[in-house]
Amino acid sequence: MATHRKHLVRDFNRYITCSICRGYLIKPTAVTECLHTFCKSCIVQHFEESNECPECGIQVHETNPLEMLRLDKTLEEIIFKLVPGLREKEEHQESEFWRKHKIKSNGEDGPRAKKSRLSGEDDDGNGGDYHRSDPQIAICLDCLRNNGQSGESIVKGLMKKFIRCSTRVTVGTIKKFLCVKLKLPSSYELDVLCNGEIMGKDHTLEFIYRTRWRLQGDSAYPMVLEYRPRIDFG
Amino acid sequence: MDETVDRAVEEREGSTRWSVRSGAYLSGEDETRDTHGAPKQQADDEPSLPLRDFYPYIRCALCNGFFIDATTITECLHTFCKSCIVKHFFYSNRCPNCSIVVHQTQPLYCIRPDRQLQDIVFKMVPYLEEDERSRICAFYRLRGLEVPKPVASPAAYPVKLPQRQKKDLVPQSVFTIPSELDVSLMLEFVGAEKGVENYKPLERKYVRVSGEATVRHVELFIRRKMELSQNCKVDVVCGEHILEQYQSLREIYNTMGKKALQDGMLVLHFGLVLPTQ
Repeated sequence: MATHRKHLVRDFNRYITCSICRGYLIKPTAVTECLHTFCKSCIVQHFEESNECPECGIQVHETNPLEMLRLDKTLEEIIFKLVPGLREKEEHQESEFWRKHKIKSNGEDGPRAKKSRLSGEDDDGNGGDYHRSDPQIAICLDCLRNNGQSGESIVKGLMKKFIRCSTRVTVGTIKKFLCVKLKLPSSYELDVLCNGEIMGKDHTLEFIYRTRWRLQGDSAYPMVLEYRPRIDFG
Repeated sequence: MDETVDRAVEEREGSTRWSVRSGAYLSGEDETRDTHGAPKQQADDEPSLPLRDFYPYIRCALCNGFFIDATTITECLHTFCKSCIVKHFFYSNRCPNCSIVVHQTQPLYCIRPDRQLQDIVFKMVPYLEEDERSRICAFYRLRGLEVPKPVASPAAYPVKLPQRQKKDLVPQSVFTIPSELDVSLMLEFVGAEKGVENYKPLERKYVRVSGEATVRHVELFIRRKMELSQNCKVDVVCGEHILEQYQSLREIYNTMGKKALQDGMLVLHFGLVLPTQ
């Protein structure tokens, strides 16, 4: 057997450095169209001026390229393991930053919990208000009884089915809320319907209200959303 | 389908053998700079990291081997071997790791080759790339198929040649100057006899040819380039002598001497004449 190869960290530098700032990838963030990876702050700032990938130049998204970003936790763990001391230094710098930021903001809380999906809207909002200043909407979550289903269904009606929330809440969030309230497993699939039509997970409540609920003759308040176990067609 | 399955089985067995080895050691450098830039060039006192520490990040959760053709699901950025995830999507549209629905009907639309992670794995695991390459060649050779060439990096731009070449005499690559093209010509057009019509002017008059070429080849070249009709004749003159068709350019080169050269090029004048009746 041949002798083991020994690699220095600099042998990996071309794979673990950001092509925008030439440093190690901090919070590596991948563009999902081409899987090119950059620092989170570098790529977010780049998308303020352009919607093309800095490395290959493809158009990421016509209007909102921030939707096409994903945090790459696997690559982040590899880089933190490869480069000694990088993780501790980054955490120290981040806590220092928030400490100064808190003094300037007079009572700002710590950094908000990291989201796995980057969104420009989240950065616009003030930290800590949790969208309370957004336009609000009242909805009623009704359980849709399926007569054809045999046996007792695991999906039941909510104890309190009237909710007031931000109009920017998406159907995906409603589904997660229902799974938590009904004590369903997190991977359980639900269908959310409005006026008998299945809503996509990325639809916001404002979109549903304007396109599905208000246009109907019966525009009673609050808006009624029905849910049921997901039915696989085909 | 069968070939893909066979290849996948072979590859997975190979990958599994790789995963049980202790593997090589990685080295880390001490970081003393304030920024998170690349570390400075020093190799002393680097702590060693066993390859086993990276196993959770560089192994496929489906086959437990190192990543081969690492492929990432764009919705959740989980990575698997390409053949593993393609086979998995035949039966399910969920991510094997986090169980999210990748796509309702076509999950293969939401995967991308992850070259960055694959390069990291090939660098970390010794001899994995060479071993995988040889297995691919054996796989294709066994089935009598042509081995697909690896994607080459962008080659150097070919050097532009300053002179044109005659295609009849140079069938091989046009990006190198073969040593046998040792004669440079300058073809000067002196005029056409009255009655000769419908010819295109010679656009480029500098030609590099072999010394073995004869005056007849030069005439054929001129006729082709100027699109001459059959009833027209080309007279080639060097200095003050009309050249015969059988004479080779090297012979003319040696015979005429220095007076026929101009800047190192053999100057040939040619005219278009009508054949004598």
